[in-house]
This record gives sequence, C-alpha cells and structure tokens, in this order.
Amino acid sequence: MQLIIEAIGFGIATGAVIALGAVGFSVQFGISNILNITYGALMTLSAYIGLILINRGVNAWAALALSAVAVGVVSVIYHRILLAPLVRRGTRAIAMIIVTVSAGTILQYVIVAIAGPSSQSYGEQSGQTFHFADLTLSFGQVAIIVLTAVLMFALHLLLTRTTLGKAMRATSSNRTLARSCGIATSRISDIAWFISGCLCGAAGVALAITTVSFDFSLGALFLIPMIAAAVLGGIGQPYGAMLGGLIIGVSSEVAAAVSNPNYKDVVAFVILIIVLLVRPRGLFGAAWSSRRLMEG
Amino acid sequence: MGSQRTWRVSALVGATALVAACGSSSPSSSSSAPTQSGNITAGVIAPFTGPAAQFGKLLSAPCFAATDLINKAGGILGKTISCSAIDDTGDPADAVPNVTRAIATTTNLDMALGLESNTAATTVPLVNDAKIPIITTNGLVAFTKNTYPYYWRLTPSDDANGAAFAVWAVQKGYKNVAVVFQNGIGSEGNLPGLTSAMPKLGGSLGLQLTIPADAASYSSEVARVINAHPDALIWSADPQTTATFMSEYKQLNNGVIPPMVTATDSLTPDFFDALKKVVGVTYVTQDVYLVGSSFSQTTAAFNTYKTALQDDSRTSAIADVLSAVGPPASEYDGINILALAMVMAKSTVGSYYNQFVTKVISPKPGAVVVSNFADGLAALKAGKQIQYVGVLGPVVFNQYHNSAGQFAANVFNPDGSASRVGSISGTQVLGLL
Amino acid sequence: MAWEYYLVVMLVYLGTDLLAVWGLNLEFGVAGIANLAYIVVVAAGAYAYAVVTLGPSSNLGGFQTYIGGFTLPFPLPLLVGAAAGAVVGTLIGLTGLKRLRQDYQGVAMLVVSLTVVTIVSADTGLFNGTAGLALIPNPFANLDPETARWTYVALVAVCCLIGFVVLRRFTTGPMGRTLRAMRDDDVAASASGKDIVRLRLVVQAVGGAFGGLSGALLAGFIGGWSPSAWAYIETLAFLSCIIVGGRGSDRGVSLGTLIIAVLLLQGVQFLPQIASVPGLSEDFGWIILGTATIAFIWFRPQGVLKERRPRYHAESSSKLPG
Repeated sequence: MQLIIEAIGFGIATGAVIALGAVGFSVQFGISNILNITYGALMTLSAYIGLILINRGVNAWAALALSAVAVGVVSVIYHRILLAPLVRRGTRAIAMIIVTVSAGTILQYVIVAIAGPSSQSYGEQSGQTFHFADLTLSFGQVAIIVLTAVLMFALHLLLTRTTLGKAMRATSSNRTLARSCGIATSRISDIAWFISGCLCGAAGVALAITTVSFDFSLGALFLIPMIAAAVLGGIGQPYGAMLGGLIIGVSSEVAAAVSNPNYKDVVAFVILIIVLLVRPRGLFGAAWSSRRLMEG
Repeated sequence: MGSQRTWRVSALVGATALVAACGSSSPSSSSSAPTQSGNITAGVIAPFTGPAAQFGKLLSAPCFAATDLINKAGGILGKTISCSAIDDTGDPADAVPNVTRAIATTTNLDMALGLESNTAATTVPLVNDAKIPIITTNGLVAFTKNTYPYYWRLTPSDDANGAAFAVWAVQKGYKNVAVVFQNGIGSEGNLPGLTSAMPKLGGSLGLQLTIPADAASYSSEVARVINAHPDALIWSADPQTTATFMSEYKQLNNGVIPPMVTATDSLTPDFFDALKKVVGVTYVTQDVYLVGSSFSQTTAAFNTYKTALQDDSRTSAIADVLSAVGPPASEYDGINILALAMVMAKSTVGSYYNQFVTKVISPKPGAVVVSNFADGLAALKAGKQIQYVGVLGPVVFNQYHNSAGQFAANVFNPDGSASRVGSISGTQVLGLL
Repeated sequence: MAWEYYLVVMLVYLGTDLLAVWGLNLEFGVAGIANLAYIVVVAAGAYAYAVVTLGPSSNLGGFQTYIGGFTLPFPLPLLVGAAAGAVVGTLIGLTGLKRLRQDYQGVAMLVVSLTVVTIVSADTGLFNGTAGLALIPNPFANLDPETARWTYVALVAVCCLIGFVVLRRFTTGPMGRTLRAMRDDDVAASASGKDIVRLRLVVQAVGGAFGGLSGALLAGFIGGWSPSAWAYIETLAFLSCIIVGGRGSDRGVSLGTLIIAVLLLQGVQFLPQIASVPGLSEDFGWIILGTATIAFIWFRPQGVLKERRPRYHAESSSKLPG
C-alpha cells in the first residue's frame, strides 16, 4: 500500500512534465486544427539548446527560459513557412500528419548528425529531498511541479482575463466567425504558436532535467504520453490536458509499482487508443468539438 | 618474402574441401595458396547509428591499434591492412544491404570483426557465406552451438556472463541480490545464466525487475527495490537509464545506494560520465563492479596493445578506458590471430587461410609463444611454429569455434579507466550453467 | 562475385518492398484507410514464417523461446506468413472502423504500432523478446550457395508476379472503383448500397496478406528478425514511396519504391564516408526520406505518376433516333 502511495507521488511529478507538454500540444491543435507530431523533435531541440547554454555556465532556469523562447520562435516560423500554407491549399489532414511526422524525423536526425548519438546530461541533482507524509520528492521534481503550476496559472489568466486570450479562444472555437468579428486570426495564430512553442521548449528542458540523462530520442519517447494526456483531457482544452497529464503520470507509476514495469509505457498508449475509440472528445471536450474529430 | 610461385587458382577446390571439413584444420590444400593483389581491409561491422551507436566508434579503436602495429612490422605478406567501418544500424534487416554492399565494394575485404548482438543473427551468416573469417563479440547464446566455419568467438556468451555475475556477488558476500535489467538483448541473455547460478551458490534473487529503457522516471521501480532490502544490485542498463534510476535511488534512500555488479559492457566513457555526474565519483569508483571476460593488465601483450592505442591520435583519448574491456581486446587479438594465419598460409584469401586459424593459437611442442604480431611474423619467417597468446591469454576454441576465456571483476578509476580487483574462474562459471 | 551477392540482396529487398508498398497503397492510396501501423503486418508475417520453420526450440539448443515451433515444408510457411498478415491486418482494421478524422486515425495507428512493439519486446515467451529470432532456415539451403541465392530471387519474383495479378483485381475494375468511391466519399458510397464496413475489413485483410508475405520472404532470406527491424517509424518509409511515386497508382508506387528504396537510400551510401562520422549516410537516409515526402506533398501531391482515373466514353454505337 505504501508503495502505491509513493507511486502516486511520483506520478504527480511525472504527470507535471507530461501536463506541461500536453497543454502546449493541445493549444496548437485548438488554434490551427493540426496534430503537430513535430512537437516531439522540438522538445529534443530545446533540451539540446539548454545543454549548450548550461555547459557555458548559464543558470539552469535561465537556460530553460531561453530554450523555451528559442523553440517558440522556431515553432512560429515552422507554422508560417510550412504548415499554414499547406493548410491554405487544402492539404488533407492525413497528409498534414505525414508532413509533421516527416519534419520531426528530419529534425531528429539533423540533431544526431550534429550532436552525435551519445547520451547527455545536465548534471547532478542538488540532492535535496522533500518529504510529504509517505511521499519523497526530489528538489528537481518539486521545482518542476511548481513551474508547471505557475505556467498553467499564467496561461489560465491569459486565456480568461486578457483580450488576447479571448481572441485565442474565439479563433480556436470557430476561426471563420472570429475573423468576421474583426479578429486578426493569422496574427493570433502566430502568437498562439509562439506561446505553445514556448511551452514545448519548457517541457523539453523539464524532461531533460527529470530524466537526468537523455539523447536524441528524448522527444519521440515522451510525445505519445503527452498526446494521450491531451486527447484524454479533450484535445484543444488546456485544462483537460493538465488533468490528463496527471492521470497518465499517476497511472503509469502505479502500474510500475504493482506489476511488470516493462509495460509502464503501454498504459499511456492503451489509454489513448481507448479514448479515441470510445470517446474521442475526451473528458472535457464539448459535444460540438467532436465534430472536428469525425470524418468530413 | 621467399619465393612467390604463382599457383593456379584452386581456391574453390580448397573452399569446398574446407566447408566439407566444417572448418577443421585439414591440410589437404597445402599446395594451392591463392594470391590476391593489392592491400587488404579489415571490416568493422558495428552500429554507428541507431540505439547502440555509441559502441561503433569505441569498437573501431582496437582495429586501428592492431593494424598500426601490423603495418609497422611490414604488413601481411608485404601488403598493408586498413580498417573500414561498416554500419550495421542496429536493425537486422537494414544491416544486410550494408554488409553485402561493403563486401562488394571493399577491396580485398579479407577479415571481419562483428561487434553487435542485435544484428549478428543476419550478418554472421552473410560474412560466412562470403568466406570471410570473422571474429565476433556478440553475446548471443544462439551461437554457442553454431556450425559456421568462418565464425570465431573469443568472448563468452551472455548467459556465461550472467553466471559470472552470480559468482562475483556471492564471492563478495552479497547473498541477497536484486536483479534490475533493462529490457534488451544482452540482459535477456544474462538472465538464464544468473538465475541458474545464484541458487547453486547459496545466494538468492530477492527481486527481479525488467525496466523499460530511457523512461522519465523510475521512482516506483526504485521504491520496489528499496523495499526488497538487497545486499547489492545486479545491474544491466544503458548509461541514460542507469543515471536516471540511480539518481532517484539516491534521493529516495537517503543518499545510500547499494553496491552494483554490472557487465564490463558498461566500461565505457558514457556510462562512467553519466553515473559519475549524478551520484558522484566515490560511489562509481568504490561500489561499482564490472564483471566480464577479463585479463591481466601486466602482460607484455597488454602493454603492447595499450601503447598502440595511446600512440594513435584517433584512439589516444580513450586508450585508458578501452584497454581494460574484454570485447575490444578480443577484437585486437582476433586481428592478430587472423593476420598470423594469413602469414602462415601465405595467402590473404579467407577461404584458404581460415584453416590456419587454429594452427596459430594451439600449443604444440617446439612452438614459439608470441604475444604480438611482429614477434609472430619473425618466428614464422624463421620457419618456426607459433602459439599466439595475446591480451586475453591463451585461446582454446571448442568445436563450435567459441573460446570463453577468463572472467574477472574490475572497478573504475577516478579517470574513467579501470583496474582489475579479482578473478573469477571460467571453469566454475561454465559449470554453473 | 560479391557484386552479384549485392545485386541479389537489392533484388530481393526491392521485391519485398514492392509487395509491402502495394499492400499499403491498396489500403491507403486506393481505399483511403490511414493505416500507419502497416509495419506490424509485415512483422506478423516475418514472425509467423519463423515460428513455422524453426522447429522446436530444443532442436537448436533451447536458446530461444517462442510460440509455435513447427517445421512446415516449403512453400507452406509463406502462406502462413501471408495469412498471419491478413489476420493481424483485419484486427488492426477493427480498431479503425470508427469514423475518426484521418489524422486522428493516423496517430491512433502509430500508437498501436508502438504498443505492439513494446509488448513483443517485453514478453520474451512470444518471439524471444528484444533478442528476436535467429537461425531461421533458408528453404534452399540444400542447393549450392550461388544457385540458392538466385532461386530466392526467382521465388520473390514469382510472388511479385502473382501478387500483382491479385492486386489488380482490387485496384482496378469494379472493385477498384468501389474502393476509390469509398475513399473519396464514403457517405455517398454507403448510400449507393456498398457495405463500407465489410469493404474496409476485406481491404485490410488483403493489404495485410501482402505485408505478411513481404515479411515472410524477407525473414526467410536474411535468417533473422527482431523488434529493431520494425520500429513504428518504418511505416513512414513505405508511405514515402507511395507519396513520391503516386498515391493510388500501382505503377506509380512501384516507381516510387525504386526511387526511394533503391536509388536514394542505397545511392546515399555510396557517397564518400566522412571518417569521423561513419554513421552520417544512414542519418542522411532518413533526412532525405523526410525531405522528399514533404517536398512532394508541397509541390506535387499526386506523385510522379498520377493515379489514372477511369474515363467513361460515350458508347459509340448509340445513335439518337431520328
């Protein structure tokens, strides 16, 4: 029993990182209706940029912020130059998926070609641990939970209290209507891609910190649990993605605690497949949003 | 070098007789040594891309060392030998075109070194069919009873390694161990040997876990291991996974980590650096034991090998670390053995000189014991018989062309190299399987 | 002689790639099913072939653990491989029946692929886990090596010929039209009386059979098979052949396979090796593949050889009265 309680604690820590990535992914889908599989490779890129900065003596959290911004910029450019034009031309959804998978593959192998295949690390953790009842969490894990909570709260404020946020939500729910209300949807898109790109970058560095040791396959490994979290919560719903992240994190760790840890990743996969087959709109997706997910 | 008579090419005859005799050393074709013009190449079949890519570069090093020395001594039958990297990608299906292309396009690819378990199942048969003698270090148990005449293995199979872990753990007094292996080929092979040997030695496997590679967190698995209160961990995982796991162990267990027994496969700069970065150098140099095929580091053979690594600019940076590990050393010895076989056969053509491999390592009355290529070359020129005893010590091939060698335990030194701290009897290990 | 071996390998790989690409093109190009888990049916065929030719594990020393363990005579194992592909293809098809948007379908399929690889790697009792299966016997082992090699090429060629004839039954004629109708507008197709569910399952079974046969032929040739041979990204390589060659067109995707699998991916390996980065050409391979795919989607989505749409001519014998 104690193992399970501990596992829940670990699951919250893992879940926080997954939530961070899932929210960015979800926002990208909400704004542009694209399942951006390149997200994984972009997280990897961020982790490597962070490594370069840290190796030059930049403080870890500053490196995280800088990498996040860098990936935010790359994401905007990527969307503007490749994805948006393809969508404008009427490229079908399946072709868009193939494009984002291909782009992710290209980016991943460019990273390998330049940085080499060896595993990398940001360095030893500070060693400080926190104890809450039966749970033990490291400093890094707690810091990431706090960071995720802060970023999610900031995003919440943005989406609900600012004009920009309202414009993003409007564009997300019905682009044409938003445009006819005078919202500059393509500028809003750029901003949304920048913000979600920053979240992607932050997730990448957070992952590198959590796993302690990583290589070029970092993003690819964690993309699927993040998509699972986003879909579970309701694709396009940031709050759903947060909850989805927690659920995925906790269930994976509990599974590892009570059964064969080899199948730990399978938990997230199976959740994703079941959600897609049984209730594609996820937990919090509004009924009308499932229109977007169905054929036609 | 002596009289060079041109014989009629009867390599096919020799080859057929050879294959029919299943690689045993029948001297039936001693009158037809086929010749080849031009310099020769040793192919290093290793992963340079894919999940095991870190090994490719490491495993090219012994080839450079061996060929440097051979060329310095005048080459083989007057020809120079160079190393060629053949990427097996870690994917058995992709390895096949790469290897066949290399065989087609490389001039005089007369020897090969196969260095990865993931693809051995498809690449060894290829090289064997092309009649190229190959020294392989794959640990696949499936090759323990194979019948490929051109295949030679100087390192133990994975299940023997697993049994060696058990022997060492019990020797150190760790009776109750937790086995944590990453899901992968090598560990899959280790497990049967380990589970078979441990009870026979009076020890017990408290907990046995297989963990997925490169996960974000292993906290739950770590908690399970801590709960089992093991005396030591028997461990096998890549540097990344190890770093993540051990870092969490340290945090969850109030800074205390049990000693670790792992394979000498982990004797790599990547593993050392990754682990050192997260748990500190004290643990890494005092409580991590690397068990595997091993050898004395005070012999003349070893010194020659290590010096060669240090002298070559391509390998000097890793000379200290690499020299203590079994598989690369077996590659170095293997090249020397094949080279000496070529000299003795007066031919560099694989289908012909393969039958001389056993002749250069077998003990016989009147044989000169040599520990490097140059000495062996001199002795052969003087018309003597030789017995090559290299870095790995005396080689004894069984009927399946496997030679297990000796086992030992090493620890890391602060600079990432390793020192031997104890030996493990090979006979005992094999007896426990 | 070594060049001859390389040529043999290229021909066998081309043949097995063609079979797989035809199968995926049938599913994706013609029938519009976004089966991004296609590599799983290829693996199913390879494993099935292995476990019906290896015989009991104890025969080879007991080093590998796997289900099955029979020794069926040639050519039954190939049929078993195709059948395994068909069965697994149908099962995958069942998960795809829900009318999800195509890109969702695609992601679900990728995840199915990843899940199966993870399970097969973890459960060593199934197919020997990560180590995979080795020592798969070659059906022509009793012939001399050179004859055996070319006989295998002939075998692959025969399979391709038969396969192509079967393929045409599905990609042309009434069946072809029905499938394309289903692809382009399944509501309309359904309204005109076509049983969409049955059609999709049939297509996934047939496509799966092609993939299974491809895997079986490949496994029998190289003698081994393991999870590293079927990572979920491998389906992308086949998709690339289809997109570059011409989606929905049998000739097109055949040309695409020749371009991608042979010219590009092998051609890149002949570039001079940069000594300090020996793996660069392999990395380049994937970079080129991804770039070619995106380039074609951008510039020429119909591929090199456009799909030929049937044209209906007015019947020349009809004459208006009067």
